[in-house]
Amino acid sequence: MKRLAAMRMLLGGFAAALLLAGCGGGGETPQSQGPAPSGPVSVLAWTPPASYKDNAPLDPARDLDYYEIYVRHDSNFTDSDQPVIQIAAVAAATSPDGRTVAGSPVTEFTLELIPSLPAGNQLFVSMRAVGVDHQKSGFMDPVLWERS
Amino acid sequence: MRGIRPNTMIRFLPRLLVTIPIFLASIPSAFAETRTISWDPVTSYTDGTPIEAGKKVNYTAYWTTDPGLGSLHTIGSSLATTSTSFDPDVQGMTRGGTVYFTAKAFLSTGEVSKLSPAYAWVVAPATQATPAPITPAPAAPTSGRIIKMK
Repeated sequence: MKRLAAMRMLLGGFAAALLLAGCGGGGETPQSQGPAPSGPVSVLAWTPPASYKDNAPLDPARDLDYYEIYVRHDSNFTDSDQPVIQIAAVAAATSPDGRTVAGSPVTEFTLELIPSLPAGNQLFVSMRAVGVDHQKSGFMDPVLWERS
Repeated sequence: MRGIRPNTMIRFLPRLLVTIPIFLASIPSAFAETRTISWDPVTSYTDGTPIEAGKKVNYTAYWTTDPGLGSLHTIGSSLATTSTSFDPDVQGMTRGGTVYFTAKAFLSTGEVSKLSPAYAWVVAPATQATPAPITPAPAAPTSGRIIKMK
């Protein structure tokens, strides 16, 4: 399955563009996720996993498919929670020659691009990594998001 | 000798294969479990006289669950070789059960031996297919933080 990762990586780039388009704008890189929200924005940043749960090494650009982002009023994320958005784990980036397409791991996401957020000025954000074999990681440690 | 040979054959050919050692081996296969039985070639009559050049020896191999060698199932017939392969499941052998192999030799001139002594074999348990390795889940992302940007 890992051998399919290169192809999945490319497709993941397309998925990223599609997902972001569905959020109100298209994008070519994680840093240009469509029209910038007016005013200050909150960017969730993270470090991609570098291993599997069994400690085998993992290449985020090859072995991850997408991330799921979760938002709650508290930090008690559970498996029954539904993600508010999925974002591709790898962003396609065109090389200077304009021909080859390389993938770079996505490490940040503008939270204001989430189309439907719970009300409230204080929210908790977490995420899970999903591998190319559709295995999901556990939740990242929740992060407090002060929206005001 | 030529005048004596027919009588000798009549007297001894019924015991042509007094002993025909049978061996079992397995051949790994990606698609089925294949076993091979083999036996020593028959080169002489039971009185020690070599089988004449030009006479071909063929074999038929059987198996049965009857130690008395009744109700034979044919594994291979008219075999010019001294081995043949089979799949225990295709043959209908019960896993873990005991089966008995035997064989007969046939000369191209029509003479037929008796069945060889039985070779008992306990049918091996089915080979377990090796499950495809399951990729474990990724570890969770770390160092989550929210950066306010204007």
